Amino acid sequence: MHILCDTCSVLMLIRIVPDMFIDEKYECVTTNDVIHEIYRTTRFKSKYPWRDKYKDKIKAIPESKIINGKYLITYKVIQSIIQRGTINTETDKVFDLSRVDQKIAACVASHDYYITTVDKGLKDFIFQQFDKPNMSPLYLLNKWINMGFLVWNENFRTVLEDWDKCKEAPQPLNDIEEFERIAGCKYPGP
Amino acid sequence: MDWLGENIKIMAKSKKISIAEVARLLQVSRQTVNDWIKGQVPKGNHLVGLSSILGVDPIEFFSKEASDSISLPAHRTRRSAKVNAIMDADALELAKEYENFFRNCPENNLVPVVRVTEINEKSALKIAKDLRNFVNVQDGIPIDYQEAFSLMKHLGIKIIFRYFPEKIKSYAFYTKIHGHRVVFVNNSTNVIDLIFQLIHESVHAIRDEVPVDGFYSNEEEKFCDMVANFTQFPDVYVDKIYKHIDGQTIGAQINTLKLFSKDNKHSLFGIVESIKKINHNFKLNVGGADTNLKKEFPLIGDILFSDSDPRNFVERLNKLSPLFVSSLAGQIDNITDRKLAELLGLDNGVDGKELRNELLKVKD
Repeated sequence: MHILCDTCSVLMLIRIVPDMFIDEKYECVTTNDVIHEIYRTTRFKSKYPWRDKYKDKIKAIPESKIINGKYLITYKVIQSIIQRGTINTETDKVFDLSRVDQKIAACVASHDYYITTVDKGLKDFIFQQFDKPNMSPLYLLNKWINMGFLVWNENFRTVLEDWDKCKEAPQPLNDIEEFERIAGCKYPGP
Repeated sequence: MDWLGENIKIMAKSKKISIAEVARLLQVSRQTVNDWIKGQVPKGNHLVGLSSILGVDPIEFFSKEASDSISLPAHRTRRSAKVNAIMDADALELAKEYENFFRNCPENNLVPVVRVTEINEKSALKIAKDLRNFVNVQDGIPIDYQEAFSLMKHLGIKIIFRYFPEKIKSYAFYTKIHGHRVVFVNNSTNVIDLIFQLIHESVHAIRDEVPVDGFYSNEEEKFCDMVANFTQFPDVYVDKIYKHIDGQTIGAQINTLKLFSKDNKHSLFGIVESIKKINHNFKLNVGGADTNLKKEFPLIGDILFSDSDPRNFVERLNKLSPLFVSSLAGQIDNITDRKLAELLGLDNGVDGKELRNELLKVKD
């Protein structure tokens, strides 16, 4: 299963695959914290005015499935690592994660999930502390095309162009190359 | 929070498990476990494994000593509120959210410090004059809230705007985090209530006095109040007002004070306190008039969030707290969207993302 850990990853993919959290073949889950963030009122005008359209499509893993003994230990471990000021070896700066980031990191680290996030700090933390590599949103898209769940068409191009307009995080080069190979067209996103 | 590697040995012994067995269960070499015992901190997944194998809470591997990187917050409370332990604890919790952020920020090495040999009115007047000179405020005119914020910048103070939790009944509080001078401002504060408080915190900052057991002495607090008063209301201004109201009826006095206060953007309460320095018997109840006057001035949070354009928010924040904005922009690549939102007192990572894009422009 892939756990989508931030609002951007969810919002990047949901317009292309609206059933990604409903149809089990996509193997996607997210948490209540991410869903709350997506639908909670924002202070600022959002670049995702269409997000309410997918309200019924984004489902969270029930808390009862997340919170167990291992999760609770992992959460405390993460709090301790952050509080003592652990260095991110990629940036040589101390990791600085929010409370929600820490809860999500605990969820990923204590369960058998692959992680998808575009947040560099969270990605580096989970990789360096828990050996879990990140799968980018574009990686998931490529995977679904390769598995025949999705046939690439020009309508999706607009969505990928929107990723660029919304200043989404740049996708990994190897995923971009793979996209261009399987879709047979130039990658229009970030 | 130091790593206590030796505890692995002690806990394993009490569980009757050998170090070799710990290593085998964690699928690492014995040398690795020995390195942990000697002081190397294990990665997160090994810490989880150690806690499970040894049956202990992970916090047992870390010292519980309170961090000395954050000084105990010094509060400016709302008028009748008293500082209590809950308020201090909540303020400290709030400050802790910024601990790693300031740990990552390069320290300001050159910040003004004022030393005085005697704590008296003469010294207070001298400091007040220096503070007014910092922001080039015109002679005989009270400092307004924008000048008060500008003063904070000159003194190397980072201002953080937050809606304070209910139990922190303060307008603002001052603390030092990893050597950075920081003032937390409650967004629910009216701008005319804030001026005196900001100047008071500035005086704490430039005096660089270390509080004893976390508290400034009464003498120090009174001195900071005196300096703040002289800084906000120069003698010439107080004299001018007193001449106007002297001999007037109570109603006329209040009306005159309201006119001056409105024109010069300060509270009635503050100027009445200053007049008492000229005439110790002067008494005037301005509570109701002060409340009415405040309705004509915004809360600081209303200024910051007056529209939903993230660009305008960053622009306004940058005017009021340029040093904090500059630190945020410098750290932007190291902060998650959610953390950015948290640092700015917003509870939504989506807002964090919008602000990231604007702060990147500041950085560029």
